[in-house]
Amino acid sequence: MGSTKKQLEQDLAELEHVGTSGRAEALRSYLRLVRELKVRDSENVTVLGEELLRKHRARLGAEELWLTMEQVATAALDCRALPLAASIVTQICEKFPESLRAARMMEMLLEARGKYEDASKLIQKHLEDAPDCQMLLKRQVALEKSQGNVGAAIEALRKYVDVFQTDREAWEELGSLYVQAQMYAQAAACYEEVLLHAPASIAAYVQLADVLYTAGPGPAGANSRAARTHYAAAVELSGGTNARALYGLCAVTAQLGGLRGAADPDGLAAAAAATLVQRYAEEAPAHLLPLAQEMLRAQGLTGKAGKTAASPRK
Amino acid sequence: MAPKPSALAILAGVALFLVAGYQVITYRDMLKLTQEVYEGVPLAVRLEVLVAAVLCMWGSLHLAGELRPISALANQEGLEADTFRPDFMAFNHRGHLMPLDVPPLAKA
Repeated sequence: MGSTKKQLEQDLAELEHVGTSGRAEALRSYLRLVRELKVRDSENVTVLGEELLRKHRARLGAEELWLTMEQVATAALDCRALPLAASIVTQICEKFPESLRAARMMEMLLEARGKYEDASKLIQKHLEDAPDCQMLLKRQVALEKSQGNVGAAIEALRKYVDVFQTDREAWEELGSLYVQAQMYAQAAACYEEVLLHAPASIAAYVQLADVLYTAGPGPAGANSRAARTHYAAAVELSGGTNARALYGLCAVTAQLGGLRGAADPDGLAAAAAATLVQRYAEEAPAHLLPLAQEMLRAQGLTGKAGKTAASPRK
Repeated sequence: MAPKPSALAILAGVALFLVAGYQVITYRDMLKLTQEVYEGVPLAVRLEVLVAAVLCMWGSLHLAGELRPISALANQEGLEADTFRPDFMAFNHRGHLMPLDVPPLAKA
């Protein structure tokens, strides 16, 4: 994950070395970073967050305290540290008895305990008063998902995105649910929305292209052609560093009916194959290069370009 | 440290603006004395303003240093899609078989 992961690792390493005096600050800064970057690091957040809340609670201001409480409780639920989670959720609910956000925490606790009926009732009760509460509507989807009802989750999420059409995460979630249900055409439509919201995101191009490629060639190869365009956009934006996009370009060209002629008129896939071979030669252990070459050959992509690009290493 | 030419250009531009303003004021005072009607700013002052604007523009463009191209990679959190969506977090996963043993939090 690039720079963000490095930043997190730095913060964690600092926690190892910092003395007792600076520890509270280091813990706070780590937890803040996790909140801001939206990464899933539940085990560390649970252990370190519990330490911060137990030893240094007085040092946190009101806003940060309750943000941290929510964060640690969620992480604890994720790691099934249920006693800790329950104690925090109780405190949150006592502090904010009217809050929907507190209700959401309570619902998540019920859900983690496997009391799906109670959780569903709790959501319904609060939705009667606030029918457009985004947090609870999303929890409804997650609740269905954790029970394995992909169909019901899709249904709930479809109603949600009908109303909140600018929620990028919701479109992404709906896309991944459709992929789980193997409804690739619908999934592609969702990932198209994601791309509309983030037109400079390399990952969004690759996601959409992956789904289109998985869906099969389509009428007259329409899906494959669209996937090829999106993979090419990802390659262009990433300057050829995204291996997944390069692989996708090769695979989708093979899907379009092998190389030589109509499928690769502009030599895109051949260039992608050459780049892949070159990067394997430069970065991977030696025994992987023949495997990659073998695969590309099976896809009909061992052009002269591949050999010339690989040769400089000798 | 020697001042940058771009900073000097901005200074000169602002000074030229001030001079032009002063010149317009004195011009109007003179017109009042000679009882003539004010019809517009003299050509020399207009040119001064133009030059001042160009100097300021050039200076502020170059003050920040070399322009660099915008990279699509610069602002990406990596090349993989973010698969963690906290709003849709589900807790029914295999982690449940390995509960983490952390004591509950005492009341404050």
